[in-house]
Amino acid sequence: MRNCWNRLFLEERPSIGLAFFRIFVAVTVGFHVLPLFFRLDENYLHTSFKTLNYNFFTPEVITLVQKSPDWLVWVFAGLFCLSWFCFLIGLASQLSCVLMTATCYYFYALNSFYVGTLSWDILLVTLFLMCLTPYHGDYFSMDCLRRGDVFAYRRQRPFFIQRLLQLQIGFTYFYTALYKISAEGNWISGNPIYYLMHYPPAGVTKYFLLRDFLAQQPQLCYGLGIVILACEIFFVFLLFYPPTRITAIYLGFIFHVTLILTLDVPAIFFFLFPPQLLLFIDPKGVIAWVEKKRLYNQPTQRSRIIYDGHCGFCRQSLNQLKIMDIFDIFQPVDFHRLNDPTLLHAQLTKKTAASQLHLVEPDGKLFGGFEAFRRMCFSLPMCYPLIPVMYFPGMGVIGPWAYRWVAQNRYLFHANTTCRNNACFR
Amino acid sequence: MGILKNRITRTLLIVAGIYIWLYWVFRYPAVSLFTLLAPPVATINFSRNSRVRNTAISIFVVLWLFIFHYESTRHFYLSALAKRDLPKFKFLFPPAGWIMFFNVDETYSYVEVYGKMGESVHLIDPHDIFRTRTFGFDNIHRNILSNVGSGDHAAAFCRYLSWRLPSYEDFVVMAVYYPSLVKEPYRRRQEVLYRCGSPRKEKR
Repeated sequence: MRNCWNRLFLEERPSIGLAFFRIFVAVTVGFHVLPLFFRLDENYLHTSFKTLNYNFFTPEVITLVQKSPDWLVWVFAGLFCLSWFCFLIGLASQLSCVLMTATCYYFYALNSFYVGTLSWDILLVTLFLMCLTPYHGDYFSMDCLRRGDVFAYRRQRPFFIQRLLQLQIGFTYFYTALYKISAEGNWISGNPIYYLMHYPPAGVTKYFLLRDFLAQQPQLCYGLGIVILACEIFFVFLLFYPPTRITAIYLGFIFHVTLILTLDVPAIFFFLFPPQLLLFIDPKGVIAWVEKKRLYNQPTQRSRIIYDGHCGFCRQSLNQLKIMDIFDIFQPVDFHRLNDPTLLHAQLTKKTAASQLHLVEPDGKLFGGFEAFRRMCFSLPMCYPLIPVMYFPGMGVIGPWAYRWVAQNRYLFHANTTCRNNACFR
Repeated sequence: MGILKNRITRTLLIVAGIYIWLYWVFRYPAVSLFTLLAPPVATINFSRNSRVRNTAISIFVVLWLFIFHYESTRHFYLSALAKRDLPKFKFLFPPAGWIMFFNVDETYSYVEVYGKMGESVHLIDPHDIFRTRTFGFDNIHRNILSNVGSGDHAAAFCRYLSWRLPSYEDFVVMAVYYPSLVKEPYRRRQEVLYRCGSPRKEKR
């Protein structure tokens, strides 16, 4: 019993899954809340139409929040944007999560008209669990870059948060099905899918390809309803039973894609639930796969990054690159330690190597400066979000210019007394 | 701190601490959820002793699972069993459990808003009333406008309409009701829920 409890909640496992999930939680919150700020006057300022959720909040809290002047709403909107962005990039991830959640509560108390949905309540439960520990900032975050631990990706943490998130989603499906067949639910006595297919144009059902066909097939609709019920009831067991886990995750993905294609329901279901299902993938298995890839990459010829080892800023950046290089693809080479850089590439001399960072790929291609950065982004999962920025129209001109400026002043970015005034470069 | 080395004193302090904790939980029921979970969460975050931390995690997990399942079943099952409204933990969880689409019948209703401009009356596109756009779905199709149908919201909604659409003099908020979408899909009933007069008109 004690062993089982330890294995379920207390055992330390890599927190990489939770870190990955953090990004999706941030995206979901952002997609749900940020559009409301584009019309702040219609949603939260004194001109807006408001509904108040007395079931969720106490009257005292609502009264207090309703006294907010418009400038305070602006302050909270700014605070939300700041904390949301920090949470997204994993900068002080626990603190930013707490701040972001607090601002979410503020806006919910201020006006529940848009956000006051069941899916929002589900999201708040998830956010509450995410606030409890800083584990989600262990990787895919600025926090891991600041800590400087090259093996941050395999950091071990107690598993209880991930387990509670697993239980949350599993039982949310279970209770949803339970309410459909008991309480005041009518999925056995009625034919809800069939009714939904007959909703008027203003209704919740989208105009999807099979809608007219299903509207003529009451028995098929009823059968589909029963299949959905069965899936939802057994989903929690399918997810926790290892042989059926992957099937259940696929089923969940299909279910949520179908949901967003057919019904106008809050997209929280689509953005949050599928990534939450991925929490069922054992992080030990993920790390074993990563280690296997690293082992595979080590004996082969890797891409070499030729950098200036006398520059503290470059060394620090290289260390951060090693943290991001989860598959161990890059091999840093200090050009000061090379007697003849041309051995690495014919065009590489000491002078060119000193001017900027270079990347020599296994097939012998040489990239320098901004172009090298662009190439590296494709191999570093943490840099994937930067790819659209790196290839944004105009970046071909601005990027090399910005890179040259940084490269020429690189000795000014660190506290090396011998290199003050950028003397080492000049 | 020699007093803490005594086993009996330490036990008494722990028991006293638990009593104080429980007192706070029941003294302030509105925030009891947070009071209940705060000590284990603080211990999980700040304790360097793995044994103490694991005990705190266990306490937290037990409490959380209890609260989660309690709130998931409270409204429809536990309250019916107890034959009274059981208290809800404020600030978290939906009011009636996870009831997504649990009851969909063949009736349907929504709200329409008409605006009067001079002698003409227009049906106003709800997307012009509430212009906030969302990712992946349409809030108007989610029937968000039905919230304004309640008489409790009439004054606030009228005020909002006169601010949002000042070119209209009056507004009429109507309910559209389909008694059976399957048997009579084109039969719909309409009724006026309330009217809004512009402040200008009210003065006259």
